[in-house]
Amino acid sequence: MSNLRCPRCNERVPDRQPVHLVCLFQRARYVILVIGGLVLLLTICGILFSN
Amino acid sequence: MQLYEPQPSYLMYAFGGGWEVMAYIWQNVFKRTASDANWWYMQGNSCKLKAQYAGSIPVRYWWWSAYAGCQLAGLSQYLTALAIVAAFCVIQFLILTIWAAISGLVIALLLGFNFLYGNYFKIFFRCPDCHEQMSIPIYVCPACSTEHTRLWPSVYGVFHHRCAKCNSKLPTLDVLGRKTLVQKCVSCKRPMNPDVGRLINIHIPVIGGPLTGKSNYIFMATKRFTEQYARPRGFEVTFPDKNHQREYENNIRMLSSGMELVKTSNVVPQAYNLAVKKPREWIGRILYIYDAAGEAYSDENSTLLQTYYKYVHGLIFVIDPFSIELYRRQHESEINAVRSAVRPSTLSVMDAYGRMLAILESSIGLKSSKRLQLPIAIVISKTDALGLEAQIGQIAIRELMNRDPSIRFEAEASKQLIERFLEENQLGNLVRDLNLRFENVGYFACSALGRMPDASDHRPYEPIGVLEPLLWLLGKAGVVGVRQGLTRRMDEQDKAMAKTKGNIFKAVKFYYWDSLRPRR
Repeated sequence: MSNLRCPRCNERVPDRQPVHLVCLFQRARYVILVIGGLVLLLTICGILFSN
Repeated sequence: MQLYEPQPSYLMYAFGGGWEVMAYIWQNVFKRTASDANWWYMQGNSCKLKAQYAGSIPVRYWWWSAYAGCQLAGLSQYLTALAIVAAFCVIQFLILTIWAAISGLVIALLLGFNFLYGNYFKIFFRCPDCHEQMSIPIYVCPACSTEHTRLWPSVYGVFHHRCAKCNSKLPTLDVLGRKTLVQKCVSCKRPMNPDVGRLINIHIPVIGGPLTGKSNYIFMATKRFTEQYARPRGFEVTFPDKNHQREYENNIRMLSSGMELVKTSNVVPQAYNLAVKKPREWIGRILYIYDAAGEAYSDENSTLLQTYYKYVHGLIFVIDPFSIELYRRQHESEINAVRSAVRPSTLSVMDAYGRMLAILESSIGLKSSKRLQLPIAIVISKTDALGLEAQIGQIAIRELMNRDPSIRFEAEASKQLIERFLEENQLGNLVRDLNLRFENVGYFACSALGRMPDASDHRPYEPIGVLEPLLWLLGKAGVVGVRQGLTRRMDEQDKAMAKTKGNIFKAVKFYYWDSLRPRR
């Protein structure tokens, strides 16, 4: 664990992470949800209408 | 842990009474049958005598027939009894075996569930007085005061035990009312409050030398936490122990009338319990706050008595700035002028810190290669004196944050200021050692009284900065959600900053990436 800290939550960030991944996922949760939903929808449509 | 211990209770029918009934019938039915059968044999014997001495053959034949009849009657007594007893024993054996098997299964399931539930939620029976951890406390029968050491589902009863002294029914599970019984520590035999063993344990010792202001800090921080943090957020904060509540109310009354608290004398402290429950939370937390007298850290023997360190979730280390050698020398004349009011601690900071490390080493083990995850709050007390508030307190924090906009958190500013203060006062080795040994170190400055004590001044003491260290530790222990409030504020700040970036792509890049880049 490095001495680097996240500017969002002030927690220590492991060396390997370019940004604090926990905070990135928390901040982008709605974006992930919408994109994930769209991908799922497209996949289902693709399967249903492929024939 | 000993699962079974003889109890002053009746065994369940399937494990005790049922088998005793079987044994009794087996032993006694044949005794009674024998006396009945003997009567027929005696009748038979008299018939036999008469047959032997009878003159005519028909009479003799008659008496021999009667003799044979009596023998058959005696034998039939045994056969009938044997048939009835055998049928009873077979049925009884089957019923008892099935009953015992089902009860055993339910007992195992309930014990297993209790064990997993306790371990998953970290709920343990730990005595606030002698700090002993036990698998189950002693429960006291409310009718006859008999002590039951294993009042849980067992061969004495799955859902209830029946007291052998007064025949009272005692519940074996909390949901059935066991928590309403008086519970005592197995080691010191003192009664424990009903929330011990029912809420998630959080143990926080407050450490520091004599006269560092630990007790003042604890009571003022509890007051601020209850009134300013918990109540507005709908938290339930209660004192599970009425004695602790009384002590808290008395101490707050004294502090509200401008009087200082009496010095703590217990070298091995009694934990001070506080139950905290968030809104919509299923299981609350029980805080064990340990306030050992400063003398506990004055010598090694007293230090080793602090056995509760093996449970701790966080530490509050209180530093009296007037006990720092260099600071005391530099401000000698000013300190001498207010010596009776500030009452400098007699123990050096490094001595207290060294003893705390020694206890941690002996109780949880410290490794030089790995930092401890345990959060430690370093609290500089008495900042109301000698302008320390402007140097390291809230005023200084605000000034520093205004001066340097890259500092986003008060905790960060506080850390910078206090680290610098300690380094300037020849305690740089303490700072370095803390950073080397602990993963989470928080630096705080506070004044538990808010002003210098003065016997003629009866205005209530108004503390400064006492809530922050406690909230920080409780946040780390998951008792309160401090992080959410902090991150929400940062999200709003970054969103506002992102809007100034010109176009949407730059704004998105800034908000989701650049603003999250870690820094020193």
